[in-house]
Amino acid sequence: MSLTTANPMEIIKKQFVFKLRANIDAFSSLIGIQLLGLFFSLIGGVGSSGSFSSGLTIEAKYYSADLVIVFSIIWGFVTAITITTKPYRNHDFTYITNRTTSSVSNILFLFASSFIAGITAMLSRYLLLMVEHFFYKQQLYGSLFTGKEFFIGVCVTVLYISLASSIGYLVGTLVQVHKIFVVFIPVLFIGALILDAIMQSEPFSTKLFAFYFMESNLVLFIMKVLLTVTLLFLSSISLLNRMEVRR
Amino acid sequence: MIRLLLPIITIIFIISIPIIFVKMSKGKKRITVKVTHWLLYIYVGVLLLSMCLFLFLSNQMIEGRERVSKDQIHAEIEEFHKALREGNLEKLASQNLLKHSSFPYQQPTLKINYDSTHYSQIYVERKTIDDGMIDAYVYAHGPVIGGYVSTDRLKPLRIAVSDADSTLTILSHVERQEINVSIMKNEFPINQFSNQTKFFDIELHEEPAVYIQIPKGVELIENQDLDLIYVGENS
Repeated sequence: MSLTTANPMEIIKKQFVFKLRANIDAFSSLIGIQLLGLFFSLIGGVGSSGSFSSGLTIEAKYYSADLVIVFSIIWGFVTAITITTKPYRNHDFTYITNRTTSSVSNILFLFASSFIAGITAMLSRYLLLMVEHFFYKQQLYGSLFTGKEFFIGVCVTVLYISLASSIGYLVGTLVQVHKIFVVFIPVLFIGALILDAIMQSEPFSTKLFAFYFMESNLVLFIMKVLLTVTLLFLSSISLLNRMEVRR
Repeated sequence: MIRLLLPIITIIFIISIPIIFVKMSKGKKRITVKVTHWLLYIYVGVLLLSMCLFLFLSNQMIEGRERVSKDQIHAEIEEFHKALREGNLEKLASQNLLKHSSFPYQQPTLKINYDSTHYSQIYVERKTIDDGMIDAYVYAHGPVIGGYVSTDRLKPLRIAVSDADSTLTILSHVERQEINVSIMKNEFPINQFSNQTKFFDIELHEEPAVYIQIPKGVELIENQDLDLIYVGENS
């Protein structure tokens, strides 16, 4: 019998570092998905508008890293689901661990990957500018990006990716608890849309979207996201704690 | 310099992450550097390099123009037309003037013709002296594309004066003018908390206005096809 008292913080730290190394391939998919987003942004821009009148035709193309950010959010969601699957959960048995420390280290990994994804997504705007200027020889209209805007952009992007990760982690957890959720969750989502259409009411997903994406107060937005992320992760931890050891 | 401060701090922070990572694993077996690590380092390196290049080349890459709001545009257009109606050309900004032409003219009468399928506002001012010169100005405000005033992108109308016919003809362009613009806009996480709208539709304004100053003694012959605006006169 071991007389050593296991320090949970040490265990979490070791697991977090291990998972950063073990799941490094997730970052190669992040790079791929961001480059794909950049490619789509380059070929058509993120939007365009035009005007036609007698004698004059105006066409404007808009460029930004919006697509890269959206793709990164999707990547965060998928990565969070992936790390709840059995092969990834079996990695935990390499170390002395329990469900709680495993979940906490997973959550820390998701935060770290959200942070990296958020920064690289915002920085990709400069790569987009470089390609536009050097390869397409485009002169761009625009105002210079201030440091404050960049900082806000990074923070908010990281929060969005974290939110998507927390949702993905809960979805993945539910699926691990019972396979019926693989069908139940999409049916619930699509069923809600159909029901709202029949009732001719505003879709719940639209209200949910507006709750986060239409919030114009930064402090309120941060509080909303952090609270949601905390609740979702806590729910996932409590669900996983109830699962059997090797299941 | 202050503008560079935050990006520099960000770069230092990002570079320090692998250094801290290496220090954390000090004394332990170093990780085997995989292709994925190299891919990540190269990608982040390219992004940081792009950011550094942008900081030094931003003036060349981005055409710095002031962004105006819809309310501001409407107010400016109102001021523009008011200045033309009142003949206060000095109130108009230099970027509103597309072209200024002067023509010597000795005939006693003048008829203004407009050779175009689209209509411009034509202002006529009688000078206080008989200097034998017709001054024609082409003014414009807009188009405003994505919130950026692009008056300089417009080609001015051509104006021709014929002594033989006693006519001044405003000619449209032979070919259709095309303006293609690329606009770098802020990302939605930033726009969400700034007062900027996500997209700003093109505001295509009226055709350029023509402002003609005729000598004092020249009599204008009415052209039923044109609706002239007389500056400083009741009719």
